[in-house]
Amino acid sequence: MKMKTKIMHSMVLLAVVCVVLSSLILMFLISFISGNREETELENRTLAYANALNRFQGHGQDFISMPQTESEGDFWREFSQAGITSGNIRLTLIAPSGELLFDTYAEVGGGDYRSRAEVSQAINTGYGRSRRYSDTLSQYTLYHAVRLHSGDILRLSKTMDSMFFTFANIVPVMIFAIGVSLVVCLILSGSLTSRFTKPLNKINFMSGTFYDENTEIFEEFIPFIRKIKKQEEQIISQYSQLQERMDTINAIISNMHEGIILLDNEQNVLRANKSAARFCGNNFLSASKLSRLRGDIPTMEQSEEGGNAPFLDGGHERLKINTFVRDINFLEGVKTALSGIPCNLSDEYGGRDLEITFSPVKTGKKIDGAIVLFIDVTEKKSAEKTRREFSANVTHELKTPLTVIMGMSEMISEGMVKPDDVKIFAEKICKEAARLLRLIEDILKLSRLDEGLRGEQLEFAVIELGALAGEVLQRLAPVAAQKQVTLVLKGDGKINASRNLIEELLYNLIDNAIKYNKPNGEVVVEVSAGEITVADTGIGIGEQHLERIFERFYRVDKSRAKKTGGTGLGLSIVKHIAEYHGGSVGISSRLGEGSRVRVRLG
Amino acid sequence: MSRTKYDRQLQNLNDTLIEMAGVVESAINDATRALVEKDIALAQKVIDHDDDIDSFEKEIEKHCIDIILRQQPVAGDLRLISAILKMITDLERIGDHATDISEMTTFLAKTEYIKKLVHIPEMAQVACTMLKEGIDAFIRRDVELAKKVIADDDKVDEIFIHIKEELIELIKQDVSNANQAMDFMMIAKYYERIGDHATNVAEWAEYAVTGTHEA
Repeated sequence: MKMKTKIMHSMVLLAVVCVVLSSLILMFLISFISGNREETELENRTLAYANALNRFQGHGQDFISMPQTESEGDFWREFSQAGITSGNIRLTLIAPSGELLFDTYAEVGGGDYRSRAEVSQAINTGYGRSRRYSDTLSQYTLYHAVRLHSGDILRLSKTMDSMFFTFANIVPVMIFAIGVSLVVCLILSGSLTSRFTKPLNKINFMSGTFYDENTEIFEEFIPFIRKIKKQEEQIISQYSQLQERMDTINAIISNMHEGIILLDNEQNVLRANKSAARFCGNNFLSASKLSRLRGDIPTMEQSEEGGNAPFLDGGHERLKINTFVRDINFLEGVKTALSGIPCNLSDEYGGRDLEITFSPVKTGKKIDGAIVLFIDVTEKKSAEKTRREFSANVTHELKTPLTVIMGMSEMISEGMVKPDDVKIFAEKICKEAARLLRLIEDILKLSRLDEGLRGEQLEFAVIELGALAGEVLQRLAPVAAQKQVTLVLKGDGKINASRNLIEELLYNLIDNAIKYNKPNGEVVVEVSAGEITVADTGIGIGEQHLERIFERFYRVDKSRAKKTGGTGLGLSIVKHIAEYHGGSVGISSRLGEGSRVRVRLG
Repeated sequence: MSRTKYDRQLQNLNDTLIEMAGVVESAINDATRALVEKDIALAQKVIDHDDDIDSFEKEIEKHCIDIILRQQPVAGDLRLISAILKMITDLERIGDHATDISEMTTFLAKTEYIKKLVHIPEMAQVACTMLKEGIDAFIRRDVELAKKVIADDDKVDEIFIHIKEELIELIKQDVSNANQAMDFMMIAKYYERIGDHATNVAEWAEYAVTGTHEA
């Protein structure tokens, strides 16, 4: 029920009660007062008449007892006429025997009047009164009787409307009054109630001040408003704190590379982030799409549609983890975690190597659920593999020349070598030692480049590429001459780079081009700003090797390696230098026709 | 109280079915990998695990009949249980085919393949995806996905015909290829059957939701 209605009802009820009560009181008072007044008046008049008649009788005029003559009759008629005109009073004269001597209305004679209460009272005490209601109760008659000196009884009576009659007369008026007051009440109560409720309605809980300055506010409301105001402020500040915290956590969880799934103790998914969805084959997304189709779960990250809710939120209907992932080992891990024991799983899912950690979530001894954390270790694993391969290669490459050195020096020390051959052996030892040295230098260069890539800043300067390439070509000219290879330099250009590194790069490329060339072949070095191309007319590289040619220690033809004396690190160094300068290396080759290496810098 | 127990029974049934599906899925995936990578140990593992799939089938069957007898499910629940009853037969058959393929792998792996496997892995890929999506469709009551799986069966059939023609060509080239060609033909047929069973799974998934079963 509305407050307004309640107020209106009360007001109407109050008005009706007031009208009824006041009219009743008023009516009662009026009839009581007027009744009393009539009574007194009648009594006074009775006594006055009696006095007058007594005095008359004292003068010896005895015509009162019985109207004998015409003049007596006239006297009574006039006397009673005076009574009627002065207040509708009926006058009766009764003999002590009870016989009616005179009456304003009735015929003289008839029954014995002593039985009437007022008459018998007057005979006995000299004065009597009584009140009698008529049959219909709508009227009553006051009787006052007095005993005259002659012994006759003078009775005056007056008939009046009873209270009931008055009431019956007043009812329509009262109903009318109630009706009028109802209408007035209805009209007034509407405006009154709205006046009461207006300040309440005007309170704006959304605004900071709650109400306008112009609005009249009942004092009684002020503590209430203050309290609400205070609570609202509290709610706002707590909400924003909570929101901030939520945002932080959401941002962390949704943006982290690791996948995370939160489960309750019945294996239902409470939350999962984007990465987890990715690792589980995006099954969460299709589930959310489905739930949207069904219209029952306000689920997954709307990130796909650009929304910002970063989680799958189980909502009303929770979905069990086995709805998304069916892998037996995974489900076993979940069960183990939910039994309170943390465990790990490393496996391949969707082509990625994953480390999955299942941890129970406990409150005291009770297990509330589990957290599943996915860590993608694909890169780490491949890096580990590369490192293992590199170590194996380095060991092998280092061991090869050392074995030769050891073997030969041992033979010499054991005296197994003819004195004439010692020189040849020493040359071989020297050659192998030089190769070992070169190898170590290359490895050091590579590792330095690795370090450089991790932040060590080398000194950069503007280099004239043409001049630098010329210098390198000059240094390699004897080797080229030995192999009968022509060297050609084309173009020029400037570049901002590390001089030492670019020199190393050019040296390696040109050295390779000469080394793997055919007699009477040609090496063309072409430089421009930001690009170096080295083309040869050599033996070329098979298509199947092109992909791996820049790997460390990768050799196209392992048997040739010894002969050419390379370390297998040259192209790898070239690649590292190019990458260090933010560039790239590409190679195209045709078996038997030659290769062309193109380096883009910056 | 009894309803709660009933709900739990249904939930358990659902969970066991998902577990069985997981095992079947990994069996077929492993069988394919063993074939492509000539991994005899992995093939042997698939053969050994076939018993697990069989016992899963028996367990789920018992479970279903138990629920039907004791709880007298009606409407949707009854449909679900009948769908599960039918589905496990298909899953079990898929498991058998995975074993069949692995058994052939154990001796094929010892020889040099007559050609590089291209279409068989492709077909296996499609069939495995169909199975995965068929089960997904059932678990998530996804009619759309079920329909997609049913449509995908045509792809498997197409690749099968392609493989058949290719193998005939290989035999024509060199009769000594015939021996292995026949084996690959069988393997292709197994995958084709797996595709059919996956279609059945999808059809039962659709039935569990809509109550209508085509074919």
